[in-house]
Amino acid sequence: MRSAVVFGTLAALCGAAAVSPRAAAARPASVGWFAEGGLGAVKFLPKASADAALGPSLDLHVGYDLFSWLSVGVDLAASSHEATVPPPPEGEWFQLYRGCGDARIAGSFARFGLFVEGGAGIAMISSNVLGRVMITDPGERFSIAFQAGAGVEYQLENRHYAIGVAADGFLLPQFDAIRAIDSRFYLRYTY
Amino acid sequence: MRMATVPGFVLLAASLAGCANDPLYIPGPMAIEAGMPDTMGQPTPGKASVQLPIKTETTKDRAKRDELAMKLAPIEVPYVRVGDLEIEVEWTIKNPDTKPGKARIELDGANEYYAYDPSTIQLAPDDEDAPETPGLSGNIPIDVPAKGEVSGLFTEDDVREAAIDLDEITRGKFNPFRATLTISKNAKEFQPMTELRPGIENYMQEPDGPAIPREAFAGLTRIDIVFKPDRPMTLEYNIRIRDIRGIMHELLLTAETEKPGELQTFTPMDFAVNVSTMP
Repeated sequence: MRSAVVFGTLAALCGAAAVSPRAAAARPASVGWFAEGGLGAVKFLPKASADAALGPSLDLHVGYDLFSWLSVGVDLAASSHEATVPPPPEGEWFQLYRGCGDARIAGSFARFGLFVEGGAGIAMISSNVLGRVMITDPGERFSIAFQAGAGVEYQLENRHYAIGVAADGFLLPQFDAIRAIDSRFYLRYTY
Repeated sequence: MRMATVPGFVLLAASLAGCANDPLYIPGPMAIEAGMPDTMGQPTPGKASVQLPIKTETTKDRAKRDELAMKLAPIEVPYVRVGDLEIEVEWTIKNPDTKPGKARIELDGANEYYAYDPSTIQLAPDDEDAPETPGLSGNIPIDVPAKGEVSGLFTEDDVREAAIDLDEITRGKFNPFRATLTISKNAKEFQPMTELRPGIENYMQEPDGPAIPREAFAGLTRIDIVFKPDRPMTLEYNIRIRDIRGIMHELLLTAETEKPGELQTFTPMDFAVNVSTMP
């Protein structure tokens, strides 16, 4: 359902570009310090998907464009999930916080841009509820985090603003190497 | 200037997230199996106890407690008080039988002064028809379908009430029926009474000493679960704790084997009632 919305949005944007007579004209975009705020969802991949449900996520990405095609930054994300471990407990939620330093390689075509990104950092889980299924060990709250992903960006007429969709896969080795996909819709502001 | 506000906001948000009052979960070490018929054909109850893994008291905490004890003297102030830990007990009953059955779950426990086991307390020694001494919470019949499961919980309010009832029964010498049938979870204080003497007819308890204020109410340090099904069933449970004061050991039950020296040892007395008929 969610992916249908994402693809629908992309299709609408592409369609708008196709019918516009000025579609091919490149739009000026600011380069430099930028901030992105995103809303989306985190979905765990098997086998953790049996023990933690899809949950909403909030992303904040702050960075600097070293060149028009390369930027570096810090990505902070928080997501909330229902623990679907065998009861009891039942109906309990936990939060996952991630902070990563990352690099992004981007290219643009007219008003659209594509990028790939990757980084590493740290993740924190808010409770030990997944300890019941041995995802976390006693007293374990932190893990190294690795993430990589890609996205599509649409430059608005105002050179400071862009919107986009992106998806990052991440791996948390200390939490029984759980893997998940964080997909989001975001707004970017470049200073 | 504008750039400075963004990392500041991020740091603030991260700090707030880190300070969130997140729960800890202690799964019951093993399922309680009960309901098997004894030699008289009666179903046997099952019981489990979980000693909460509480860290040893720090010098700073001890100094604060001593200060409070001096203020409230002669009232004794416990290390673990009501409000330090917000506890919830979630449970699931499984009935493997092809017939439906009934089960009761009773919550008892101990604070650092006393352990309460109602099965050892006789409030009416001469009356065979007298009701059983009540547990601190629960003990309500639950219908369990054949080959089915039923889940439920003792809420934080239930467990807080149980902790206060325990303190009222033990330090306050309240009759267990009085303590458990009145709502005390928001009580600001309780008045200790003279010893309970069920063996003496027409004996009246009198107030004894100063009232114990809420800031000196003892909290639970041990959770006892008594499972009473009418046919063979199993009970799984999980203890959920919000550690308000930060006194739980981060390793939880694993600390008992890995870092036993970092756990506070409590040696509560078994609570008993004097049933002597002599004044």
